[in-house]
Amino acid sequence: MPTYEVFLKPDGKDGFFHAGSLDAPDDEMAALYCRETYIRRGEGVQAWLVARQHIVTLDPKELEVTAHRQHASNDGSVVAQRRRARRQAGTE
Amino acid sequence: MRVWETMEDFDQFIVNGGTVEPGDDMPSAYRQEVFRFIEMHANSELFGGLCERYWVSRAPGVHRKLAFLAKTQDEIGHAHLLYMVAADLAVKSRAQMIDDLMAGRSKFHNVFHYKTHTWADQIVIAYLVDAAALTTQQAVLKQCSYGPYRRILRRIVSEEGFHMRHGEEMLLTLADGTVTQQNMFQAALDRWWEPVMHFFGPPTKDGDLLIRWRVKSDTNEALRDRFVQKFVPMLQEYGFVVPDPALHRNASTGKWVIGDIDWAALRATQSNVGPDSAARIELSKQSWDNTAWVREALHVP
Amino acid sequence: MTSAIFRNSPPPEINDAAATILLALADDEFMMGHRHSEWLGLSPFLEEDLTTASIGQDEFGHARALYALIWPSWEMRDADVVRRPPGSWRSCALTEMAGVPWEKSLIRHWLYDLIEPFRWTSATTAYGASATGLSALAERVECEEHFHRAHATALVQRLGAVDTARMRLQHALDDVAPTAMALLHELDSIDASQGAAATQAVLEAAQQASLKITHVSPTVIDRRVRHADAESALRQFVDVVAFDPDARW
Repeated sequence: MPTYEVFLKPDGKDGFFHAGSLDAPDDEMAALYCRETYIRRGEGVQAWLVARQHIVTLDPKELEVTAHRQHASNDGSVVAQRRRARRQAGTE
Repeated sequence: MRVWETMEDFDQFIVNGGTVEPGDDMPSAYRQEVFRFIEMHANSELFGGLCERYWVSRAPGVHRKLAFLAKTQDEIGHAHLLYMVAADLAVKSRAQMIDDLMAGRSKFHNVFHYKTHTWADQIVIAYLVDAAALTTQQAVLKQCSYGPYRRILRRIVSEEGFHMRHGEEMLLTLADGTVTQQNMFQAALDRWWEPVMHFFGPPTKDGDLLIRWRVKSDTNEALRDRFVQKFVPMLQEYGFVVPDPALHRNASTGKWVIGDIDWAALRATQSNVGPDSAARIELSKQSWDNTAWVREALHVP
Repeated sequence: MTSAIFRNSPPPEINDAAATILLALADDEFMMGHRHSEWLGLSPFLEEDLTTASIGQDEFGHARALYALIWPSWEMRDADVVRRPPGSWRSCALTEMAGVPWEKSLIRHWLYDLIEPFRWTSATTAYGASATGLSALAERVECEEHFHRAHATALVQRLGAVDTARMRLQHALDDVAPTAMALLHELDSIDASQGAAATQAVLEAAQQASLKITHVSPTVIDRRVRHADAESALRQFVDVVAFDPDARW
């Protein structure tokens, strides 16, 4: 019997989040069981279910390297330095 | 998947506030400890639900019945969440965990080894036991190192909060009720105070692995004391007597001090030979066995 | 069961046809809620357990809403609902009988919920205009009942597809069918078109699940009389109240 991962979208501005998992014989039963296992008090206004075996997983090492692309972000320090320099030049 | 070369590396990772996830190559001792802890929590939620089941049909009125049914459903729901998380640790499957529980090979919390004699016993469970459980769970939720457990605890703790308020509401109904009702609650409190003290467990030993790996963040004594400081005055204010002749207030600190605890009864429940252990396991096992064909036909493991 | 348990504000006598039919529906819903709740912690697996518990809550909720329509000014309605003497309940054998083994409960859940929407349609068509709030309630109830039918049907069909499981379901159906037939017969005598539609729905559902409903000459339901299994249920309902009948619980 497949294990399903449950994603819920709460009411309001937030997107889907992972709520947990459940076991069910098939998609239709999983949909029936999802409601009472994870949404007993309106915890979600939308729900996604996906059989765990269908999830495509990426290698964390390949994700990690992207955290080091300094050229792709800008903390504003160069801009601050330039602005300071311009202000100083103007007052002289 | 993260790998730690040595146990020192792993310990350091935990000390630094790291969170372990199911895919990580965690030390097997950590895996076993976390698994055992979650499995026992799951078993206890399931048997707590079974214990309450008896009172759903007896609840006085439609409103109480509905509130009780929803609460009991939550407990079963917690068991479900916990078994799913425990199964992902790949120590035992869900079916193995249930099989072991039904065979009396697994542990569940001491309080669910007792019979609930009256409605007031059930209110003690709904209020004091749930409060005790909440005290321990909040301490785990605060900084538990195992990610999936901590995440589902957030949901569990919020639902336990509903239960506790519901329990206190019912307690107040008895406290403000007739003499019969007040006596009924006092009698239940007399039966349950010791098991509730036991619930937190014997004093934590030095080198406790659950504390070292930040599954638990407080010792059993600290949690018991936190509970005592809060609930002794509350029970007294509601007009009840805490059944501990040695209970007194420390004159200099102002804190409540309880008498020595006799651990014999706790040890009996830990070996599944508490007053109602056999009956509870048997009820569950019979139904589990009788419905095996359903799981087989639906390929439920 | 002592009479003292029942002495506080008994429900007002019901004389009109509308209230009689609504009370029958309300008490059936209440009994179904009770029977579902008996599976708490004992269902074949936990996902099923949680779903059964929710369906039970829905049924109790429907009963409560109907009691409020029937006895709008009855004080202490909530606690006294469960304190009525056996003779003033109006549930029927289908909902009162014990639901063991599990397949008997499933078959009862399936048949009862297949018939239920036709009872609501019949009641709202006949009395919707006179009973304030009935139509709105029926609409809300149907949202939940849709889920109940989907649940029962999904299970019966899947189990019906497995030979050994189907034999158990068939056995349970043989056991339960006469009481369900009696309910259909009653609906038929109140509202022939809804009765016919409900019978059709049940027969089609049975066929889809490869189950057979053996024809029996339907008995007439006397809702003043309790099924033998109701006695222990009614005793449980007043178990706590009996401790101090004058107290608020």
